[in-house]
Amino acid sequence: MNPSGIRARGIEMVFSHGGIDQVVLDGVDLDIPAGGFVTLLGPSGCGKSTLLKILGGLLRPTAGSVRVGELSAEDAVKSREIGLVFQRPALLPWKTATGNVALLNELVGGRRAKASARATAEKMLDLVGLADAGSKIPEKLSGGMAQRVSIARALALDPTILLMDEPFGALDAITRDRMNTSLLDIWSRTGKTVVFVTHSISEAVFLSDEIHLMDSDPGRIVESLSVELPRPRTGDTIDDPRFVEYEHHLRKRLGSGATEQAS
Amino acid sequence: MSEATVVSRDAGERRPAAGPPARRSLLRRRLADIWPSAFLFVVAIATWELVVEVFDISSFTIAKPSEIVSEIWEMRELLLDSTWITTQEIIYGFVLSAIIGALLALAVARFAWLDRALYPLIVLFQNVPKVALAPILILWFGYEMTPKLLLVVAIAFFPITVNMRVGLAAVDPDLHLLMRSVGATRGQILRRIQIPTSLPYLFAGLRIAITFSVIGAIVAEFAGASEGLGYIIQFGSTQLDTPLVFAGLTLISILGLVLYYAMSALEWLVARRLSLPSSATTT
Ligand SMILES: Nc1ncnc2c1ncn2[C@@H]1O[C@H](COP(=O)(O)OP(=O)(O)OP(=O)(O)O)[C@@H](O)[C@H]1O
Ligand SMILES: [Mg+2]
Repeated sequence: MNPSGIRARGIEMVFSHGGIDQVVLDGVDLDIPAGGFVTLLGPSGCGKSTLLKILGGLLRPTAGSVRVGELSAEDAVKSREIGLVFQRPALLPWKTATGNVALLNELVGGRRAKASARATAEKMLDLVGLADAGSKIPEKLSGGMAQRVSIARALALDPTILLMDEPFGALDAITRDRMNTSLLDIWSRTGKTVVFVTHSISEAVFLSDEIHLMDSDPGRIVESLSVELPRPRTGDTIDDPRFVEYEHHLRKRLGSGATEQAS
Repeated sequence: MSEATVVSRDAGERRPAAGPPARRSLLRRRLADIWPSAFLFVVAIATWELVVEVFDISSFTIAKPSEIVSEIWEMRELLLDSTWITTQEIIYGFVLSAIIGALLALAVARFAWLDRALYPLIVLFQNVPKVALAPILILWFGYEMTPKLLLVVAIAFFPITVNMRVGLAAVDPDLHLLMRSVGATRGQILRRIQIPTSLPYLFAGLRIAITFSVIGAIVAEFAGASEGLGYIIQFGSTQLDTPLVFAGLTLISILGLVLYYAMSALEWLVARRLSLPSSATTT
């Protein structure tokens, strides 16, 4: 399947809490190129998760439109173009890693799809570097392994778009660095469009083609920055003077580096 | 790429591997847990026996443990029949409560309007002192099994419904979102995610319900019965046959204990089979 891009225009989201309206997103325009790696970076509460759900057709905005490739966002959900990864792995504790990865395919394909769903699951676990862990239940997996399983689960339906909401935010720094490298590897092999949400400036710079910097009250995109660092990106990338420059620039824009704290 | 650092960091948190050596040490630990209370129990029984003996308290007032044991032995046929009757009332009533309680929880979890309509009424009903229903049920349904089952259900369905309802709602919102992202129906989400998630909660409810079922059956027999342990206790007290009363009390206590541990064992088996997190933290 060819990857799809996402095109959002005039997105506005208002939540009302007991009669009081909160404008969470105000006039967001966004173009995410097919096959690109795009990051939403911003302080806590600025509406990143909300925007991500809207882009994936899982939340209807109060105003504005979203197109995924040729489809409306709702139709994109129906034709299963969206894969999701969250901050926590959200695995079913009573299923093995393979069972968890096969879950969505079994659900979509019914009983007859069971064998093929498991075969796909094993391939996906292999892709995320967990070929040997398929029979383990989540309790027996480390945090990093569990998150790999959840990435495998998102890939198993072969979506064209991967929406990742702070997927490595709960991991320790060493595991996080490994997961970043590993994600770029998976991305380059599968050619998905990735929309990635993070608090971490260095993570955003390391991973992205383009970073959309957001600010809150109301949530909006205040700057879009193309990251012109060569790929593949490796351990050496962070020593590139331009990497440091991007980081410095973003930190200044976000002010006092407060958002760099891991959440 | 290797996960070695992460694995070794987490290794200490793993459960001990299943297998004979681990299980035996678990058993020994269990025994070590039990013996202080077993010791206290024996001391209490012995004190009881001694006090009644030394102060020469009449057996109209209180029966000695040794008297209770010999009473149970002498009346074994009657008591065995009675125990069997009461056991049936408890188990049938409990199973009925489990079915009704779980179905109610599923219904209110599936239909939000039903939850809004029904749940406040269920809570309201819970505040009716159910024991007071016993005479009315006897009036309506006579001395047979029916009013006993109804009273057991009235008392025991509630903890099941409440616990399972919480369990059905305890699903990670991210999982909900994930299921919706592939267009899963509410029925599919219920079957594949919510029900398995709710099982430990359901079992917690069932453990409370089995205790309540014992109470329900005995109270219903007090209110009107021609057989069963509750009947025996009441009959004994009108005849001033204190040893018989104590014999009935002893048997009903043992029955309650056996049923409770049977329930815990069932939970343990199911939890292990489905590798669910067990709720059996309080025993
Ligand atoms: N379903 C909802 N109902 C009402 N308000 C909501 C809802 N979802 C989000 N909000 C509000 O919208 C705002 C933005 O939330 P969102 O989760 O999108 O922020 P975020 O940028 O992802 O934050 P974080 O980095 O902490 O995850 C918050 O103030 C939140 O309270
Ligand atoms: Mg968020």
